[in-house]
Amino acid sequence: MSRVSRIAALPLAALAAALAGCQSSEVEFEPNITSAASLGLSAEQVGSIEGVLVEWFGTPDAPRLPERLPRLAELLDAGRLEQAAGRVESHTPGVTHGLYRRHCARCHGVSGDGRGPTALYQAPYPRDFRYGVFKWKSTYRDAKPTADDLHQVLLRGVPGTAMPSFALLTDDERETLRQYVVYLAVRGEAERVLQEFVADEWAPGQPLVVDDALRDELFAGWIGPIVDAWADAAQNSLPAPPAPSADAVALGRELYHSERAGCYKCHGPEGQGGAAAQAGEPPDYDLWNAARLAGRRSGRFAELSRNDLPVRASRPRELTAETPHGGADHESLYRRVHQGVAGTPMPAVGALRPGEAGPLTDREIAAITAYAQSLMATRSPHKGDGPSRSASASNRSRPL
Amino acid sequence: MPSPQATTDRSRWLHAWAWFLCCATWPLVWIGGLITTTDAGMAVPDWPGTYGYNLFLYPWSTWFFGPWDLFVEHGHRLFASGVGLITIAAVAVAWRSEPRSWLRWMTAGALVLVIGQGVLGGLRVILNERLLAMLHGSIGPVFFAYTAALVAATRRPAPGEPALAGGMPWLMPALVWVQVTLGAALRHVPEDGSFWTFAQHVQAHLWQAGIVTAAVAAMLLAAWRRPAPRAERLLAAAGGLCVVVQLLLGVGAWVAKYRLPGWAQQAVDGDGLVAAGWEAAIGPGTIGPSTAGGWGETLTVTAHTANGALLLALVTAWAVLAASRRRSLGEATGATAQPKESQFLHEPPGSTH
Repeated sequence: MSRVSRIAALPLAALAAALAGCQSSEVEFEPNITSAASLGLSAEQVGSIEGVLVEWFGTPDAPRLPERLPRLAELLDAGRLEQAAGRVESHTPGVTHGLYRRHCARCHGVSGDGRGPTALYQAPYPRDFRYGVFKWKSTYRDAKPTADDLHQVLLRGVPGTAMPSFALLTDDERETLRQYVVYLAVRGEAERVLQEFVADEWAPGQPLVVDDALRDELFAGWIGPIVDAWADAAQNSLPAPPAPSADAVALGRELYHSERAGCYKCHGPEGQGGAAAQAGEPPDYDLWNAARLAGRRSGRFAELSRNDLPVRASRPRELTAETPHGGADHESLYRRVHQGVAGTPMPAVGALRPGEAGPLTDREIAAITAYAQSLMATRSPHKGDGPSRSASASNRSRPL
Repeated sequence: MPSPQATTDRSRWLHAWAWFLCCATWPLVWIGGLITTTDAGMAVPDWPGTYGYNLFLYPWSTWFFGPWDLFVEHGHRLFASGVGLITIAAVAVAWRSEPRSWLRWMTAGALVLVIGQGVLGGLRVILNERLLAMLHGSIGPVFFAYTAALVAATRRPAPGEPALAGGMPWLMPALVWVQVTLGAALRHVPEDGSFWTFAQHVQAHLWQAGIVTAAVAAMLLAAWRRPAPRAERLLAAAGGLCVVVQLLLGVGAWVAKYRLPGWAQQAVDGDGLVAAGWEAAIGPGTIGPSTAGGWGETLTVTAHTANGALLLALVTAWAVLAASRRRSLGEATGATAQPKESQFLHEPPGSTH
C-alpha cells in the first residue's frame, strides 16, 4: 500500500471505529440483574418477569399504566408519560416528545437504572430510580419523596454533581419529567417485588407465569403498596424545625462531638469528612453500591456483573467550606440530620415515624444543624494537613 | 485566450469568493453545533420543507419569535441554503473566470459536498437517526476545511517563496479530522448506549487530542526551523493557538456538562498543588449545579465543536500551501515533475484551457 493510501485509510478506519456501537435498535428496559443475582434467580426467570412487566408497564417507547392500579392512574398521567418517552422529536412547534431521553437518559439510563452512557465518569453515580429511594426529600426516611421534593431537585439541581438545574424548562415539562421518573421508580420497584415473589414463592428456576388470579394477588398484595406509598408521600412530611435558640451552635458543637449523636465519627472532629475520620474502619456502602456488591458476590450473571459500574464506598461528607449536595439551607439540612440520608449510611437521629421518640429531640437536632451550618461557613482548617488527607483519598472510591 | 492581466483579475475574484464562502461556513458550523448541544435536531419533523411550508416561505415571525429549537433548526436550514447559494455562485465564478480546470472542478467539488451534506442533514431528520446526525456533524467541518483549502489553493504565491523540503502535510488534516469525527461520535452516543462505549469514545478522543497536539507542535517547529512563507507560518501559529484554546474548551465543556470526575474531586479536595490552584482559581466550596440548556454550558460545548472545525480548516489550508510548495520544488528540480502537478499553483497566467 502506498504512503498516500495508508494516510487515506486512517480516517476511514477511525470512522469505522466511531460508527461501531452506534447502530440504532429497538430500545428496551434493562432487567435489574443486580437484584436478580442476589436473589438467586435464573436467566429464564428474569426473562419471564420482564415479559410480565412489558405487558403491565409497556416499553421505553410506549409506556403503559396497569389498569388494575387505579391509584397509579391518579398519580400519573398517561399523556405525560407518552410525551416523556420515546425518541426526541417534535410534531408541533415548541412541543417536544422524548423529554426523558433528551434531558435525563444520558446519565440515568433509558431504564432509569443510573447506568446511562456518561455514568462511569460521574461521582456520585447518577441515581438508580428503580429502588424508589431518593435522597433529597422532606419526608421521613422510609417514605417516598413528595411531588414538590422531586420538583425542587429538578429546579435547583444537585450542587457538586453532574445533576443540573432544569430551571429553563417550563413547569409543564418539569412536571412531565417528574411523572416519568416516578413511573420508572414504580416500575423498578414492581420488578424487584416480582423478583422477590419468584425467589420466595416460585419453584427454583421456573419461569413466572401470571394468570388472572395471580395477577390480582400481585397487584393487591405486592405492587399496590408501592403505589400507595407514592400516593401517600405528602402525609409523611417531616414537621418544620423549631426555631434555633441563642445557644444552638454551642449546644450543637457539644452534641456533634458526643457519643449520643456521634457525628464526629464519620464527619471528623473538624468536619473534614471523608475517610480520614474513619481511619481503620471498613468501607461502608450506600444502598445502590451495596446491592451491586451483593449481586457480584452471588456469582450469578458473572459476565453481566463484570460489565456493571465499579463498586464505590460511601464517603462521609466534608462539612467545612462546602455546600452539601442536598442544599445548605437550615430546613433541608435539619431534615437530613433528623432523618439521615435515605439509601446511605448517614443515619437518622430523630424519630422515624410521627409521634415516636428518637435518640435526639427536635431542639437538639436543630442545634446540630446550626453547628453544621457554622462549619460550612468556615474555611477548611485541614488544607495542608497532608498525610491524613492523602491516606483518606485512596479509600474513597474503591472499584471492585 | 484571455490576457495575462485579465486572468490575474479573474483569479482574484475566485479567491475573494472562496474567502466569502469560507467565512460564511464557520457560522454555519456554529449553528449546527448549537443544534447538537441543545438537542434541537428534531425540532422540525419534515424536510426539505418546514412544517409543510416551503423552506423560504415559512412565516418568519413564527420562526424568529418561536421556541429556541425551532429558531435554531430552521435558522440552520436557512443559513445552510445561503451557503449553498454562495457555493453555486463560486462555481459560476470559477467557470467564468478561472483558467485552471482542476481549480474549477475543485470548486464544483465544494458544491457536491454541500449538497451531500444537506441531504445527509435531511435524512437525519426524516429517519430521526442519530448515526446520520453524527455523520452530518463530522462532515460539516470537512466542508468548512474544503472551503479553507479553496482559499489556499486560489491564493497566488508571492515570488521567491521557499520550497518545502519534506514531510507529509496531508497527515495533519487527516489527524484532526479523525479527532473531529471522534468528537462527533462522542456527542452522539445513543441514550441507550453502554457506559463502556461512552468511556471508549472519551478515551479515544483524549488520546487523539494528545496526538493532534503533538502534531501541531511539530508543525509549528517545522514552520519556524525551515524557510517558510509568511502565510504558512501564520497558519501554523493560528493552528497552535487553536489547539491551546481547544484544550481549554475541552476541559471547560466536560466540567460544564458533567462537573468533576471522582479522581479530580479528590485532587481539588486534597492538599497538593492542584487543590491550591483550584482554590485560587475557582475558590473553596462545592461547584454549583449547571443550568441545563444555559448559555454558559451551551456556548462552551459548542465553541469546542466549532473551534475543532476551525483547527481542521487551518491545518487543511496549511497542508494545501505546503503541498503546493513541494510541487513547486518538484517542478524546479524536475525530480517529480508531472505535467498536471506542475500546474498546481504556478501555472503562468494566460495559459489556455
